[in-house]
Amino acid sequence: MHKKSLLALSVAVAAALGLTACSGGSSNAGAGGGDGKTLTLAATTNEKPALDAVVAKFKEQNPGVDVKYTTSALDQYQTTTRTQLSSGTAPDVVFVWPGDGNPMATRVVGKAGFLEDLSSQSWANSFPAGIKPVTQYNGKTYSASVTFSGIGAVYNMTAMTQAGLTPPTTWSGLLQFCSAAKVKGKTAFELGAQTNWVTQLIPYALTPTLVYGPNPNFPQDMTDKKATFSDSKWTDALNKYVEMQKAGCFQANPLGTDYNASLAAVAKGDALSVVQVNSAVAAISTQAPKGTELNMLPVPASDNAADTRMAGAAGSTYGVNAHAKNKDLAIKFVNFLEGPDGMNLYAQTNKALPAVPNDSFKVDPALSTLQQYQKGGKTDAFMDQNWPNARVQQTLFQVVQDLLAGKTDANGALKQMDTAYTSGS
Amino acid sequence: MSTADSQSLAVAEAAAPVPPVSRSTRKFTARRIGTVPWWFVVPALVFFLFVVLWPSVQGAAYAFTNWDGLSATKDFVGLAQFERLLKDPGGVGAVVHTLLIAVAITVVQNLIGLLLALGVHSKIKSRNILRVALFTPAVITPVATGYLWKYLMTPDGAINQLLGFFGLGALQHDWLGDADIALWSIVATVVWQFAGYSMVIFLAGLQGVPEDVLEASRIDGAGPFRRFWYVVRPELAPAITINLMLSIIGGLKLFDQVWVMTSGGPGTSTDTMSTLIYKNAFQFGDFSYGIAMALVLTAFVAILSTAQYKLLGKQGGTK
Repeated sequence: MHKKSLLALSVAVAAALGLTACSGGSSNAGAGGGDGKTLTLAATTNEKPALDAVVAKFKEQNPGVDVKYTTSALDQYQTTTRTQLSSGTAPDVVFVWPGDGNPMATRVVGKAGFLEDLSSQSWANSFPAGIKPVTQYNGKTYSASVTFSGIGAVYNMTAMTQAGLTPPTTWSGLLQFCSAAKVKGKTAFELGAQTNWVTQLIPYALTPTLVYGPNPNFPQDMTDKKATFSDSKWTDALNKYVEMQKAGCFQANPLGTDYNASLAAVAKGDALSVVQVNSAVAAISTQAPKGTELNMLPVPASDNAADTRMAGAAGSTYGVNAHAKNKDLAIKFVNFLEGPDGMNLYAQTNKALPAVPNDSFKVDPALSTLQQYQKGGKTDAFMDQNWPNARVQQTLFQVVQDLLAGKTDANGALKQMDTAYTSGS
Repeated sequence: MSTADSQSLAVAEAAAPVPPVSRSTRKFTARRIGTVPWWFVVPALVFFLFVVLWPSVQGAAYAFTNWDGLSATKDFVGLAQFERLLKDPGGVGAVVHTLLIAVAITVVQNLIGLLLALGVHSKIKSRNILRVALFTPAVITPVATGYLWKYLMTPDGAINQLLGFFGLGALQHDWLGDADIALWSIVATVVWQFAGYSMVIFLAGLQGVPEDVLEASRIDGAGPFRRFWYVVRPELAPAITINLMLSIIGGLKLFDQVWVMTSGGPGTSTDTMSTLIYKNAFQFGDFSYGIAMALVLTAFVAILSTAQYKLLGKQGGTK
């Protein structure tokens, strides 16, 4: 072949390759079709059982409509969805976290202009006071919370009965419970601290009683720079965490135990309880012998049982992509989730409570105490929902592991969190 | 034409005197040889430019901005992200861990790989089975290996059970939960996976060692160590260079096993530059800072591997 022809062919092939790469990107951007009948949705893996149920119900109520949804692990979900949003290829409906403090939180994504303003929807003003603020950014509603989640000690009541023990209601009682469990050859509170996010659950369970109940303005005080972690009762919370470790409340190697292993220990009855979010009730049930009774109760942090509060907050939350191909259908789906049918079905399947309490919801007996605390206003939002950046929560994960490893103390740990709080936007 | 005829014709052609090549023909041939190959490279080169180089350069530019990975707005901040890296105690710790991992993996993996290669480069009957068995871990994905060893290294896992079974209870450990040894547990996992890979490269080098030279040295009275040092080692120099480069680059970039086994914990005891890049870019929403760290890691890998290549080249390792 002539030299010039060869050059022309080479350039043509190369250009074709380049153009093919470009057109591949734009065809992905059209995922979902924009035909008004195919809705696309993405969420984390934990939401799959509930999505299976509500999507089937939604399709039943809307013949001819198809819903394509994908679920992925938390890390992967955050990475992928942020990239999709910024490149214009995100699904119509996206799972978001309430409030702030997370790369895919409502305020983070809403502030960047990727969430549709849902303020005009009928449900936007019906959320309880503890949930409404975390669905908003700058006074506008950008997300729809479907469930209410809580953090508490999930007890294997069958194993407790066999051991002749009852759940503690005071801090002193908790330490005695740890000793008594040890005598019976059981772990009082199994701790899967190798899994990063598990490390935060005990401080989250203790601080409503120690910090946020006595001073409900604490998050605002921190925003206004009138309060810091290290100069607050957070110090007591972390010291009590260490005290629990020294009292033998946890198994021998909490830093070598992950989330799954911790639930398995409770399901088998080797451990009597685990401090977890309510979704653990379902996860333990599936592994435990048939007939095992579970109960989720508050973790006491003071010697006055009446003061005890729980961490409870908006759980599964969805937003509509501001650049959705099927925006009307996306809003219709979110409205369905916010209706009693969708919300109750979702909460029932996910072993959670509905974001808006209603009488038609049949609560799982294991979560009845959480529901009482929700209705009684004795819950405080998950702390990270009011933190200004994701670095604070990640720092908490790290310092708690250092604390359990004896590499730092409560004050040193909280000073690191203060630095993280002021470092980000 | 019969086979015999064609053979005799070939022999005759080979034996025939070669006509003298004129100066102009030589020039033409040289020009053709010198010019033709780059045409073939063009499609691959343009593909590389579109798919690798251009996106990389575009991505690298974000290191000089304050983009969070999501917002439509970004400001040029010059070298501010690199200055942050110098002041970040987590960043310094991650650099130290990365270097420790890279050095440990390079030394231990290659030492074990070399010993394995010497072991299976023998006349034993099961050598082919052993070669396959020892190489097998290298074909497993690092993520799968990470999960496998994470499971084996749990406090109640197979390793501690085996130690207990053999009466070595004193050696039982929380392999990934103890901040003082978690890093070395990860190194052990990587070495287990890739020692067989190094072995295969050494084995290829060993098969190039002339048998007659070895025999001569044996007759001259050289023992096994002297034979290895003075005859085998110089012949293995290129294999050593390749292995050292691959393992040091792999060690510096290590991410999968660390992420799966410890996610950088307990605390920050196993954080490497790669895990910190991931955390900053995707978990903290600090994308441009993550990119700045990635650029530093790239420079780090380039400088170290080039220096190592030059150093070993001087000793005949790049022939």
